[in-house]
Amino acid sequence: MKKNTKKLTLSALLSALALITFMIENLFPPLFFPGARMGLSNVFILLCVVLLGNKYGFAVLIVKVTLGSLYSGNISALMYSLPSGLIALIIQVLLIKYTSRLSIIAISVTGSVANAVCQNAVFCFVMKSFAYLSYSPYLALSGVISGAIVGATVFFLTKKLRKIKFLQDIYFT
Amino acid sequence: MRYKSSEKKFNIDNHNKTCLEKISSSKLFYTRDLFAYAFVALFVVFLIIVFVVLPSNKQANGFCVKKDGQVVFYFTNNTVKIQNDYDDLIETVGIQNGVEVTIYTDSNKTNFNVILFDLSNKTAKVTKSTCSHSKDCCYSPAISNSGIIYCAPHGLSIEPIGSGGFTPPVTGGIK
Repeated sequence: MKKNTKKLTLSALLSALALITFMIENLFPPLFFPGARMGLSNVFILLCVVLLGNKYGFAVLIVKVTLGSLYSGNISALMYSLPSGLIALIIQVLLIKYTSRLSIIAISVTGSVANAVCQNAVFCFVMKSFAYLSYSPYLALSGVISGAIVGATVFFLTKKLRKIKFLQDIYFT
Repeated sequence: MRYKSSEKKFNIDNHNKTCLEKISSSKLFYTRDLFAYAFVALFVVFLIIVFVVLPSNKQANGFCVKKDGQVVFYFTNNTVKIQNDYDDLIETVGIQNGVEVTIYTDSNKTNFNVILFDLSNKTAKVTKSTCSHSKDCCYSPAISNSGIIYCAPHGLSIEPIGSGGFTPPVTGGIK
């Protein structure tokens, strides 16, 4: 199998995992506040950035958000989920690229908080009401928790996954 | 098949390998992380001050309920004042220390939200809804002088009035 085909296969697998996690997570009530979720599907997006590169990470994000909104029957969520997800991922990509000695957990926490606040801000803009900004402190706090969990998961997964032959084939062909 | 370090004909994807190596050889915590965490903490404190502490000083004198941006009714001075168009879609029940209002969001009266106005605590909360599986509106905390409860599937919002100078128009009856 060619290197690019392997990358495409792995990114498709990560997209499917992100989508399934997102759909399962949607079945549960929010954490403490409306809109607050663990965001465990972001594990696969961040993992894709680390394993395959930025463009694959962005592709997985777009697939997850678009199909997730369609399957959950809430297409309007696309309006505020996609821009906030893109902003958060850009921040994470820049932090990975330009900062040395910053742990993946700190990067994930920063991105997660940015995602939560941006999503709330875009939602306010779409709804034309700033009253919804009152949720932003709570969403930011939930972003800290979910970001730490996502970051720690990616950290441990990366340690394990680098030993897998399929991944070695991608890097050494 | 395992690759040996002696094999030199590898076309290494430098960017990804660097990224993978960087993360997989990193630690769970670096001293520089403290700057990132401090920045996040300051940002959260700023949000709490601006959106929680400062608005709570303002006194609301009721609640306004909107559907798709249009005022349906508002609850003030212990009365429910309904817009004409929605008169048939709202049921009001007086309970101990409060008023329970059921608003039907379709003409068949299959979908609804139940809003509890607590007179003693001067709060509003959605107690029941047929909106979605996750029922975000029911999990929203009770609002008093600030905040908002939003039910996205029904396009319903509940917000305090008076604190921000907002006074909705009323064209309907009073219950």
